[in-house]
Amino acid sequence: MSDFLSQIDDSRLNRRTFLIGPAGTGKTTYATQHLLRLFERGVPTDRVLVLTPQITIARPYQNAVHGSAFGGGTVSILTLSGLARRLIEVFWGLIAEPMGFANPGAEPIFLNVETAQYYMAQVAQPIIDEGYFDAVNVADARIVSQLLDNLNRAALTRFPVDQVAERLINAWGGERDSRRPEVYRKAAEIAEAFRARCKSQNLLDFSLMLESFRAHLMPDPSVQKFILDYLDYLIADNVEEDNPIAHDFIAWFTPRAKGALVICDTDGGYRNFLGADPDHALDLENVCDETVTLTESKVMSMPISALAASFNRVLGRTFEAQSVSAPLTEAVTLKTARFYPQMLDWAIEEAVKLVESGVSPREIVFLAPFLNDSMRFTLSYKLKALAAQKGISLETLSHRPSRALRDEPPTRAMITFAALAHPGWKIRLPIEDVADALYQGIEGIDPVRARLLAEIVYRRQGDNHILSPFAKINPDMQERITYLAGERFDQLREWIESYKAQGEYEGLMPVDYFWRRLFGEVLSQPGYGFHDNLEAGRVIAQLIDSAQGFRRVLYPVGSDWETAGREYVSFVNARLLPALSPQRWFEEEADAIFLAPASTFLLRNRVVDYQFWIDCGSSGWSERLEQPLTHPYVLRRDYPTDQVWSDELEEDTQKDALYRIVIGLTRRCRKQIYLAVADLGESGYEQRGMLLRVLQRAVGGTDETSTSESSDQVEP
Amino acid sequence: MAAVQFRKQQADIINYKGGKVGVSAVPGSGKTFTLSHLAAKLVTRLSRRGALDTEEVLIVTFANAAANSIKAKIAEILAAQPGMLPHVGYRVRTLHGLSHDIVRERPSLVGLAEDFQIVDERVSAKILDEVVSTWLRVRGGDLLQRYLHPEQESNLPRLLNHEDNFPALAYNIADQFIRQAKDRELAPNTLRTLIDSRPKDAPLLPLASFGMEIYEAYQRGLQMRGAVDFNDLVRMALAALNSDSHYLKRLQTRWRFILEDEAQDSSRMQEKLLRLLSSDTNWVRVGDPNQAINTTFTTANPIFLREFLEERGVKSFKLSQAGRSAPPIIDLANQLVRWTVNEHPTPELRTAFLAQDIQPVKADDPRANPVEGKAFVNYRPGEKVTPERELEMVVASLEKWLPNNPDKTVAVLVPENSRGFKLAELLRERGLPFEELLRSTSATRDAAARLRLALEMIASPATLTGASKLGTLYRDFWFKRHLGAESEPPEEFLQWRDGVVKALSNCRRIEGFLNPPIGVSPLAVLDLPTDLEDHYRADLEDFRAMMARWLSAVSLPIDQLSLTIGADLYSDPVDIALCYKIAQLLRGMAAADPSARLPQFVEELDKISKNQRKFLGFDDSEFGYTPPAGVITVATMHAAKGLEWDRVYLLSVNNYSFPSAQPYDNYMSERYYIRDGLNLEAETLAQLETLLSAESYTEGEASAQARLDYAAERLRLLYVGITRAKEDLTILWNMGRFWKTGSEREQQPALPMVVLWNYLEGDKSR
Repeated sequence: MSDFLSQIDDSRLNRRTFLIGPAGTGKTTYATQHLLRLFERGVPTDRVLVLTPQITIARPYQNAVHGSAFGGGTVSILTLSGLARRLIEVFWGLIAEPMGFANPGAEPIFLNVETAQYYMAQVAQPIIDEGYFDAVNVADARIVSQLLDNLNRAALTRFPVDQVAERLINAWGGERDSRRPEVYRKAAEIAEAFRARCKSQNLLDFSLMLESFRAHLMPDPSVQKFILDYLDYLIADNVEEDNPIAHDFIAWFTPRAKGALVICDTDGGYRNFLGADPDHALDLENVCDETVTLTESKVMSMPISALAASFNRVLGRTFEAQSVSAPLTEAVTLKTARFYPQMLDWAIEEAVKLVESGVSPREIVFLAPFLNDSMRFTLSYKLKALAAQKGISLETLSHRPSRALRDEPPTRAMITFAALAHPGWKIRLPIEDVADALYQGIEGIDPVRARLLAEIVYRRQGDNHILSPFAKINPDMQERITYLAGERFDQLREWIESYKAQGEYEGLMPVDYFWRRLFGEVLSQPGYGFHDNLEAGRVIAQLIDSAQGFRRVLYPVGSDWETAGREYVSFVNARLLPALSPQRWFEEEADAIFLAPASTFLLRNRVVDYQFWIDCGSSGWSERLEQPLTHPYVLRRDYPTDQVWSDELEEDTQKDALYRIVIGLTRRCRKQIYLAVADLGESGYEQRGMLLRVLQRAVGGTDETSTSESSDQVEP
Repeated sequence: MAAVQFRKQQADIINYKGGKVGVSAVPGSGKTFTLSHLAAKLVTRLSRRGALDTEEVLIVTFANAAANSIKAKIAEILAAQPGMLPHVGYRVRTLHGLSHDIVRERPSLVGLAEDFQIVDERVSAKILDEVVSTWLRVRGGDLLQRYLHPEQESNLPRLLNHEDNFPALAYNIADQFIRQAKDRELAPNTLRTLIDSRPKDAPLLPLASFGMEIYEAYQRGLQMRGAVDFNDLVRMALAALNSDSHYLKRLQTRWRFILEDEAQDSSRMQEKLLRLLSSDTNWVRVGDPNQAINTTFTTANPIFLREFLEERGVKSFKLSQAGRSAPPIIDLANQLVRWTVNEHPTPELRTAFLAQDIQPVKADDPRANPVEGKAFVNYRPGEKVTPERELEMVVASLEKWLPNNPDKTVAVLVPENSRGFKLAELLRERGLPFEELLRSTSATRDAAARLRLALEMIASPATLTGASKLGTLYRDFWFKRHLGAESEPPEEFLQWRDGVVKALSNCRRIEGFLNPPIGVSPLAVLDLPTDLEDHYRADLEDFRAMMARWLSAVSLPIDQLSLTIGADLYSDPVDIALCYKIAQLLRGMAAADPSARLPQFVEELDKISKNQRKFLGFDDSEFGYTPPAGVITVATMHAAKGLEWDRVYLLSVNNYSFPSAQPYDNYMSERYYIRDGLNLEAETLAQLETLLSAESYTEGEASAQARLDYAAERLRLLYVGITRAKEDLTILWNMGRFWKTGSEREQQPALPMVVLWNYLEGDKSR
């Protein structure tokens, strides 16, 4: 790093540099220094745009600015859709009419993933119910999300929506299940109906935002002038993970900027699914004045480098790692267990041993192709429990993209309280839910007493939920439940009763207001369950955000909060809402073991000492998610429209994906990788994924060219 | 590997290089042993070529138990080789497991998402049950009326409504129909077209129409769940391969060698799939046609192996030497085959066996036959043996034999589970050590039962029921792990345990024990002596802490709650794995039914623990079974296949369990309330065949053929039973449980049993 970094001077600040190299060569570290150097040289912070494909990738820039003397300034650290949204807000009057929006005079409404899903479901569900999608065996919510994917892909690749079906049908080929083309056509019809609805109501989903940006904003001279008036410098990181529209923007802005640093990771491309186009990213070299190529890893130890070389050899890539002479024994520890929990237990024990020996938990990550709730919970729970046995306090941090909001216990308690306060919703509350809400909500009450209390005080009368006061309970029972708990319950009850009374008198308030008030006025106060409970606070904040977002989009002017609240809660109860909020930066900085899907970790720009690859037998390491209604490769700009998607192509993409993941992870590891294999996977099936076969050759020592060191390092 | 000695016949197979090979093996000839060594050798060959990241040896077998045992064997052989990761280079699969692999890799080819669900027996049975019940409510009377025995007219409402009668039969009919339709790769709409296009004057096919309508509704039920069942998997695997020739080619390359064990149980679909995958080249099929015992109402048929052995281009081998059994037992087994092939009074049954003798191995063979042994048929002409008497005789014999033979293995093999349960009951009463190898292992049931108990306690903590569950948890779980961990805990501890259980169960303020107010002892609310010794106090305090911790997890989603409790509850890896599996199952249930709360989850676990539900992936045959010495194994003859014991008793060898197509025989599949001795399952399948072949349908023909097929299979089952014995064999019979209702329902000794008795008597006189 030092050689290259020492070349930073003012002249480079004002040039256009294409910086390319594999992960771990110091590109982002250099770029953050470059950013600070700009500020040091007097460039106002608000005249620099940092563009990243997703906001988590921008973390090092946020941290660098935050920790510098320029922390108070405003730096635009954005994704392309963030930029598009800002510009649409400014230039709405310019584009609304040509885009065909029905009410150019009214404000645009931006849909997030949840609300887009909601609107698409409204259009699609009647058609799904009619059986048009029976030829694909996919749950309804997934059909809806794939329909949205198709719109987004069309927008990213700049072809009209109506071409989606044609491309998918051509790629499907004639000889296969003949019902599929009909399904694709139906999907296209729904997509168009959804689009029409968006335009009639000023709704902008991700695809419309991109289309507005590409087709109407960027070609407009006044928008171009606006951008150039406000921005002078560009840093675009991880362009290989960004989409072609972002590339087009970078290609337009770079030559016009006073200076630009465009950074590309040679082995990236993990966001293929989300429209990343790593090949197209390489073209950006052409708009730069110079190319700097970095090859030397600042991360990998000699043995890890040797491992990377071994993977390279097995996966048939040409890239040569620098060192191949170190023994792999020091890079890898492998364990094969019969059962899945046995495998987890082994990894947990090894990780705790590391922490015991002084390794910072932050230097350990657990990576798996998928991280479902049971696995996340088991890992987190057992890691903490085992560490506690050894007298160590250990924290874990997990990324859980697929978790439903409803699966968070505080969410369920909040829903129960809301249902108690809104009899008009007509929600049936099982006694278990009431007891659980009391248990969570009141500090110092245990589950048995909460249950006793619920059984005595709660009853239903018609639609109304009645909570009788503690004072009415017989004294013996009061004593059993304890007076302190009773007093707290009464305050909570009175709050709910007064809310109900107020509602009858003044009309109801939106459910997010209700929750905000209940949390702020009661549950976060001393004596209540969420007092000093940061995790619960985080979940509830997320719930409130989500409900608020829903309300703003669905009921921008309405005041039928009863219906709005009921609708939102039913959506949460049906597990349609994911817990979306990303970790905040201070959480990510926490000294905790990070548990994440491998692809998530790869997009975090993080390097650690120790990696645990969990479930190496799984085929999820190489296989893409199958989405019968869409296709991440076929719906790319460069995919030939008449080419059938064959098994050969599928196999190539699998190998490619595995290569990217394996090399990407290895390059982000300093010291050691623990490989955990379970013979029987999570569902009890035997596993024979591609990674396992690669490991056999790369570290199993059976390959004819393998070194003797590699053959005796396996623990059978 | 060098230390292993192969017999000449085995060595010929081990030296296989390629091509199509068929092996006909007799029981005890080391079939699995040979196949495992062949597989290991082929894996080594691939490894030397550096081909292991693209190529594998595929081994296909019939049942999970066999798959697991072969897998373990191959792993053991390969473990001796340095640098081999475990389980790399080969995969052992059942037909369904293989189909799952194929579909799982390219689900989109058959319209599935990557996380498609395979419904397990539990869900599929539930869907089918609902569909059949709904149908029967509307039209069941008409269907039953059509086939009702005239004498049962007045019983129609009872037969129709009692779930063990016609509803159970209708369920079986529907189940068979759907299986067969899927095996023939027929979709419901194809069947509907076939039925609708029949000429107006063609005879009605009421059973096929019933089957088709149920099939339609059942598939809709699966579709709603985004799911497929096991039988869909095979059909879809074939569809996937047929729809993408590149994919087929890739799999053909991957599975360079295909070895098929238990090939006598192969089915049309299995053969089709393996022929496709092997591109009809490197395919080794090993089996014993005389041990085909899975043919009734399955699609398995030994004819596929027999024909393969004769096929052009197939090199045939024999494994006819077997070192398992002593000469008298080999002789008896051979006699059964010879008699059947040459003299069976029903000529159609003479083809039940392939005429091949078991030959003993050479005396210097490392696995030479036991020298001493005895075969005994417990039959005296004219003597009648009640079922109770039969069990008594066996138990009496075991009581005498066991103490003198602590190092030997022994099994009592029964034709049906129900008989095994009865025997197990008696053995338990008599205090004889035994293990069940019946429908599901008690380990599975125990694991689910323990979790159920814990969840029950959490579900109703404030009630007396909750308190009593707490007592049971102390007794059955906690005490066994702590004070009662030794095999015979001191009396003092047992008294303490009983005292605690009583105190907990009677506690009316259980919250005072579980979460006492600060400064108050948790024991204050329990009716226990106040001057407890410290170790008792500590024991109970620890128990309390754990229970309180479980309770505090009540807010977690059900899978996480189960895992939290499971972490304390289980220590054995299998149990932990099972708990993980249960957690996922409950999570699935919660997702499908958002209104489900703890009581509903407890109910589900109750069904699992009572053995009404079976798990996918962890069924009874998860591990190969090794009979322990000095402990009686109680097993069905089916489950005993592939196993051996020093001494074996075969029970219930009468003409009900082993009919011989004689006029006096009774058949399980023929219900007393159905007219003309019709076997409706068989008639249903015949009607389905009529739809496909356009041949005419004659009622009763299929029932008659079903009798022959069943009798043939039961002959082979008897052969399997006999050949499980290494040294001693006793065959017994009983009159059946209806002997009291009249002589016409009294069972006779099975014909082959009498024949074998005669043979042994003749032998004696010789």
